[in-house]
Amino acid sequence: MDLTAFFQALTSIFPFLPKIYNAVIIDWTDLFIVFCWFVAASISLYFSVNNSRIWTSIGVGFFLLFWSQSFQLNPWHETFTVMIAIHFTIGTLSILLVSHGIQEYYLFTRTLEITGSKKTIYIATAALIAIAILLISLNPKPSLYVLRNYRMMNNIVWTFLCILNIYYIAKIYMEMKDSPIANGIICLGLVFVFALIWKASGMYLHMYQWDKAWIDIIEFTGESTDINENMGKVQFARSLFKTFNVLTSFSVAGTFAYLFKLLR
Amino acid sequence: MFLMPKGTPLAENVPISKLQLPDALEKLKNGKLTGCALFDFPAADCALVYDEGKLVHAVVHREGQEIKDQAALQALVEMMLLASNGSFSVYALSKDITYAVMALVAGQAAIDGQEIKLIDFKALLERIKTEQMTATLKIYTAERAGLIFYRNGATVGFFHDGAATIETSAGEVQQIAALPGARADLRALDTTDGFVLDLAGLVDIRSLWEASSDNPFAVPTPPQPAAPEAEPPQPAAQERLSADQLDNAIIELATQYLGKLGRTLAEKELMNIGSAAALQDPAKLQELLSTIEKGAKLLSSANKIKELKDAITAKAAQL
Repeated sequence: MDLTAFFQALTSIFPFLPKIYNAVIIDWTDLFIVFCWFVAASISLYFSVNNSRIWTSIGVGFFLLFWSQSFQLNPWHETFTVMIAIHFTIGTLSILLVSHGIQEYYLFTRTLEITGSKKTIYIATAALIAIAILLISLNPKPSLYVLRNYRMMNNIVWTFLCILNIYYIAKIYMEMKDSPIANGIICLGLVFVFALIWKASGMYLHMYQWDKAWIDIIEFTGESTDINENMGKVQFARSLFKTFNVLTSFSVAGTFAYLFKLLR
Repeated sequence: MFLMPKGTPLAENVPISKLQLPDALEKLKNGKLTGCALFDFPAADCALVYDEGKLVHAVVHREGQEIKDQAALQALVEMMLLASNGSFSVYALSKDITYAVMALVAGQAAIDGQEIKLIDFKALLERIKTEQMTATLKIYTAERAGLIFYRNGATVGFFHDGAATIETSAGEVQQIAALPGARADLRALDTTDGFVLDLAGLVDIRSLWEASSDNPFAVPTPPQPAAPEAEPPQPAAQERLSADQLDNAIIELATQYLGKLGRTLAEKELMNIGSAAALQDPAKLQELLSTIEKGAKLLSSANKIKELKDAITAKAAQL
């Protein structure tokens, strides 16, 4: 979908916005992915307000995920490298929050205790984001290398927390398999299986420097790459990354819609 | 120092003012508890040891004295009614640890207050092993205490005054043994005592409780004149429920609406309010409903939770 004319018109209305020089073409798949995350974020945020305290961590986490994902639709994101770093950090914080919520859920199934308050979660999340923004702002403007490191951090944290989340969700399911929302818990587990494959394939491409960001960097520096000798593996990892990105976002929207039905 | 081990907490530091002793003990029996129920009063401690719901030993420590079994239950009822404050905790323990605790509470003293430095530990451990003792070795000073549990000669766990649960290593207990003036007691179960009576069957705690809690100065209620025989029973009258029946009905409802975890949730919250008898007080009923709702939000839908709350309210009205 070509949105160049729309954004150019926007810059003429708001002159403080950076000029648009390149064509702004947004892929339908990207739009679909962001829409799915939006559905999940809306429902999870609704849960976080109207439901048990434990849903707050999970809900706020999924809302932040939507925030980090929606950034790819922003045509100016290449201009503000600090903002890209902030969004990768928020994406990382979001999985930490979701995992925190899932671990508390598991704790609940074992002890039936719910402690803490929603306010604490909201304040702690805002404080974490503020600290991350402050730290990134105090440091030099991120180069392409630094941005790639941020992305790699995001993939690594996601990969290992997804493994933990799958483990805890399995334990939660074992504890409450006869409860009315047990099937929703299985779906949530499936989301993390998809997310694990998505993020692990991204991490794999980063570790071997076969990711697009690295190829863009070496285009200017002239460094050599072994990507051509391993094209089979690269293609396979890239296809996993793309497919499971779509599957994750689709399943997350479906899961939250299903949980909404079960919990209503 | 009175020290009993803590295992998996089923209820912890519940104020005794919230507790109806006969109902609480009934629940431990019906729940087939293997472990300990501990009562902590300002000037006394009490431990009840359960094996699969059978109350096998009771001990009260008061003013340096140890009261056991039936007399301990009588003392517990008195303390519950007279003490201004105190707390109640229940811990599930493994079968092996429970047997070792039975030795601690009611076993024969193989070593009694012996100074640690005078004990040949190697020989003692050998003796425990060869005689296949089920025993507890208590190591203590004036300030600290630790326990080592043995089942059929094998070490099955460790506990000390700073521990939150049974430990698998001796580290802290060894440190207590190394303190100046440390002493040891070894209490072992007599293997010839194969059959243990259920104390709850020997002492009628409910009538003891009711007799003790009666106000001796109360004016007896005059007997009500008998209703005329000709009056037929009211067909619309609801069936009345006893506190125990209400307890079971609430647990059943929670299981039906929330699943297995709902059952545990209802049992826990009923334990926290003391007993279903307390649900005659609307504030207590509201407290129970809101605590059950809080947990149920993670197990079921809002509609089902509402239905469950309505069903519990209807049942409570039958009390």
